[in-house]
Amino acid sequence: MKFRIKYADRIVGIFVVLAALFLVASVIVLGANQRWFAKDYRFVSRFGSAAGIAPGTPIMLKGFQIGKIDRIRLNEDNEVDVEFSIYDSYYGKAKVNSLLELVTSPIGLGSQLLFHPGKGEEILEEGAFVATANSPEGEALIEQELVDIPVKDDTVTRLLGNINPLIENLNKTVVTVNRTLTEVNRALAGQSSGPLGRMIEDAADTVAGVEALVGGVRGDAEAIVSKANDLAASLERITRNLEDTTAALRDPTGLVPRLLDPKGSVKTLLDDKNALYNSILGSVAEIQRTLKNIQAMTTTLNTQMPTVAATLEETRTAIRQAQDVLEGLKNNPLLKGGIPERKDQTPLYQSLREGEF
Amino acid sequence: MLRRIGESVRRRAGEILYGLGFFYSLLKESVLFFRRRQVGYRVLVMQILFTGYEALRISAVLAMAIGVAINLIGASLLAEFGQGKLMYTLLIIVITRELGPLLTAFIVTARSGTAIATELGGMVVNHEIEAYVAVGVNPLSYLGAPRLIGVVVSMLVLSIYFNLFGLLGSFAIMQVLKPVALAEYLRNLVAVLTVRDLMSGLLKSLIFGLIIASVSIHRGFAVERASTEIPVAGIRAVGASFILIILADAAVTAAQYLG
Amino acid sequence: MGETVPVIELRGVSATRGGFCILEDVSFALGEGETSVFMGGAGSGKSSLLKTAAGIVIPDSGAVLFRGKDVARMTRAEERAFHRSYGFVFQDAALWANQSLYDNLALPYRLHEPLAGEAEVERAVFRAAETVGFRESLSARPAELSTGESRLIGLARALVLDPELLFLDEPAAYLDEESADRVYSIIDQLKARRRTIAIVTGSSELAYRFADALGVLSGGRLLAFGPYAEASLWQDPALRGVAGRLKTRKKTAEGGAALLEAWAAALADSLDAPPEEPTAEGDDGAAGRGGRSDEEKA
Repeated sequence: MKFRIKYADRIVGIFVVLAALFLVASVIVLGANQRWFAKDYRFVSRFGSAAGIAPGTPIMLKGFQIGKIDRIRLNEDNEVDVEFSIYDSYYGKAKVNSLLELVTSPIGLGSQLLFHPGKGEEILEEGAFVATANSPEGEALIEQELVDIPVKDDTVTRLLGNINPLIENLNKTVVTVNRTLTEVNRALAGQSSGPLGRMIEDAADTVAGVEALVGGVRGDAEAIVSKANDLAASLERITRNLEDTTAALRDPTGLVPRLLDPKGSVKTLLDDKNALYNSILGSVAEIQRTLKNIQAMTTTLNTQMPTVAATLEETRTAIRQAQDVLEGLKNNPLLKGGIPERKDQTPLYQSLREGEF
Repeated sequence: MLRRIGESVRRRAGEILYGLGFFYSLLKESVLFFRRRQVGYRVLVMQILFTGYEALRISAVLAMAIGVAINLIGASLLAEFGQGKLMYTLLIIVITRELGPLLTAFIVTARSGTAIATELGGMVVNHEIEAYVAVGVNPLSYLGAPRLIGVVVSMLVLSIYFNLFGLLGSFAIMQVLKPVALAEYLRNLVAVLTVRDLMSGLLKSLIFGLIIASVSIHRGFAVERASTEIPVAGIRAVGASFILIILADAAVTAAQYLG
Repeated sequence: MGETVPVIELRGVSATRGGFCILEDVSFALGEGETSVFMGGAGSGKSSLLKTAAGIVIPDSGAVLFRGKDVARMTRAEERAFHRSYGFVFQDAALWANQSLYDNLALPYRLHEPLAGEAEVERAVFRAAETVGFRESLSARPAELSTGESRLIGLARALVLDPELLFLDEPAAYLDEESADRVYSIIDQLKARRRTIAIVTGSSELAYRFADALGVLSGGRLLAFGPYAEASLWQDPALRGVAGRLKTRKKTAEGGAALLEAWAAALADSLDAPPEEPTAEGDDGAAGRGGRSDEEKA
């Protein structure tokens, strides 16, 4: 007891000071965690609408939060003045010509406020104005390539990225098939007697590689759209060709004299144990499979690229008809109406519309 | 009958008013305590030694047991829902915010609340308080203030240690169940711990400390002359402290979740 | 002394404790340098009277004045000066159990002489202990002392600041003869130094020895208060019942003024009055009985 009392002051001192130290330490750790002591650099911007931005909204760069919105205010021109801050550890990213971009997910996954650092060397002065990507200033900067806008990391972008190589391959295939079909048409029209079979075989080889090439590669959304447009054009051509072929094959009056001609194209076509025929058929089947893949992917795309989808559907129909014609041709080309009536499936374009969300 | 009710209501109201006045002067004296060059410093040190330091062991054991229990529950139950990470939130809520201050308050009440009430009661009966008054010492500032400050400081410090030991106990049992590195453990804790949690726990400790000290001091001084009143004062101090602590806890928690 | 402001004056003071009336309409004044002795049986409110006069018990009505100032309306500094000015000896010593004897004695000094160094405090403490004749170690705790020793320390605590006013509650009770004599001599010295003293006691012994003024208490009422010389003329049977021993004194007074002179001589040489203590205690009991019978009559 005497001992305890003698050292009471010291014991109590240690007891209290230790606890105080622990408390201060945890508050400091927490404070560091919540950025109490870090300096923030403030900038201003202007948005067309406050939708998707609120005080506290994080500003992201490549998936890292580098700052946040501090304050928003509706100004006299009914635009939204925004004050935001960039954390000091990321201040170096805030280069001149940087842009802000609000990316809203079309499928309801919320929005992200992205920061695109400018390509300049100079670092933005504190309080500087940072344009948004869809403002005239922003578009000008993008056009001049003064700012680095990377691929957006959202679902749609990923989907488009996956489709891109598919379409590219399909495109190639379509070009080849198109050439082949042109040859066939010309042959049917009696304009050509070239090595038709080999050409078609080439086409078949190309098509075989399509499936293997699907996946992996990511491309630029814009490129995709333009490619898709190219593709749509090609597909239209293909479709037209196929229609021509089909019509030519269907036409009994045109067929009969040509069939009677021993050097006629159809005979050639059916020569060599149907090799050429099988080849074309195989190619067409490949295309169909590829198209199916595309269809599966585009289910989430519908409103985005209706033209592509519609064209793809038309192509599918055309290819199916071509198959039917070839089938009929093989069975009995002499027979009028030897081509079977196929029961139409729900067109792709329509089904996409149904799945609207 | 009606007169009796009226009488008791009047007396009750008088008691409550007196209690509030008492609390006010006690608080005032406690604030002034640091300004006055009085001899009460020693009493303060001894109060912290007794209320805080000597209660550390039981508090630590309790805290570690709670920490272990939460971890066991968390490990078995939360894992079933695939919410293993929630364990840290649970630890913070239970140890830092809710149970820590409450259990510490119960320990302090049981140990020091009774001690203060009976000690002061004994002093009243032995006329020691009158002797202080005769000498010119204000018993509230000389006896009350250091006890109040001592209990409040001890509550705050003990609840900090409760956190420390609770989280330590949880960490220890984790080493047995599924080992996690200390850094990882702390990182997870800090991720869910907010300053609000910390302040909430400390605020509760502060309020509980004020309640325990002022109730016990009040009950101790309320003894009139008989030594038989002393244990009664102790019992009343504990009872009243418990009730007020639980009410205050409910109030603070409600204010936090609603406000 | 009648013209000067009394050191302590009570005006119509009533006090209750735990719902019971302990003082009822008490008025008196203590003159400068006077020794007043209040007598009364057990439960007559003697101790309460003293505590009220010292500002320890707060009266429900009436006023306590210290040198003309209402104690209830004092500023902090005045209150401090008031408590500084008196020493109070409790009937049961009322030492602070959780402090050493040294600290018990030192606390009043430290409190009222905050600028004093520890050496000065120590000197005052040892002087007080020496005055009461306490020679044991001061590092002991009050619990280690006998009742008599505690009472001596209690007296020493009251004397540490050498106050101008002393309240003594049964200063000689529980003391052995030697200690009692020492207490008497201390009171004599204080009287000689013109200290104002208020004593409450159940025995007439102290009244004989020291009283300039005498008061008689019963059931919380001050039945009489006046100069000691006049007290001998009190004829009221109730007063005589309370202050039983006074009868003897009255007789001696009737016997002649010479006897009074003899008493005075005895007071001066207090060491030569050993047989008084047991009688005093017997009287205490008698007075108690008297007080009770008074209450029964009322």
